[in-house]
Amino acid sequence: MAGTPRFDRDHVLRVSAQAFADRGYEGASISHLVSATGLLRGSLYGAFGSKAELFRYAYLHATGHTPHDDDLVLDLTVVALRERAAHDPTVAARTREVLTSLHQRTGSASDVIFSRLLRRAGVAPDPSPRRPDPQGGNIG
Amino acid sequence: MAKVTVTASDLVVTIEGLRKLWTLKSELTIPLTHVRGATVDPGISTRFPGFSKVSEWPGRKVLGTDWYGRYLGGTFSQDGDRVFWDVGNPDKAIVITVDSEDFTRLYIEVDDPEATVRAIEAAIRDH
Repeated sequence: MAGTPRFDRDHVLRVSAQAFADRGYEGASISHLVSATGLLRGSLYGAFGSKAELFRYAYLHATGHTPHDDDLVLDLTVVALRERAAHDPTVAARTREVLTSLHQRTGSASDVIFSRLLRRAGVAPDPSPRRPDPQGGNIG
Repeated sequence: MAKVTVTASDLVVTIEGLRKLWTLKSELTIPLTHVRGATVDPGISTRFPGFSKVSEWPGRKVLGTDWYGRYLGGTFSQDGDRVFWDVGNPDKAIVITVDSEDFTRLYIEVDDPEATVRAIEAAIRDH
């Protein structure tokens, strides 16, 4: 039990990333992360030091292993922008890289992120701006 | 309740009031270079969680006060790690992880957990 931590780091980072993406940084408590990862509280603290560090590694891991237009990366990037980039220079730098690569890949990082936010919220975007009825007539 | 202050080179945890007696410490000084991080964690528990979860219990008292479920103060041994407790109400608890010869973790209770954690994070980052 005590001594060298023996756990699958990739797995821990993956499920932590999912927990942060689902709940946000503040919303994902250590208790949530403990039950998601299956680690003991003490092992989690021993391996990562703090929630901030766990988020940093989970974000670096997700963005290093998953295409940047994947929903997980988009959700995490929104969390990073809202809650962590201002406090964590490593997260800020990676966020910038992700936004740049999204921009290069899709032409507009903001469109991709915005449509992900709408999809996640279940709010269907207006498919096209309202146009006048092509059939015309029948007015008045 | 403890107070956390940051100096140019150290993190200083000051134990307040009667808890100085219960923890047998009045102050812990940890060089900032040895502070790994801090986390708001109201989910920690001072009680014994039952025999099926022995490895999750708060630890065995080495020096201090063990009113399990009400208050823990002082030096404890938790799953092989030496930890420091000063927690009565986990709602205001933070966990500071350190690379120190004395402790690997401090479980302390502070007035404003979010602000304290942010201050510690900033101190580590800027150091």
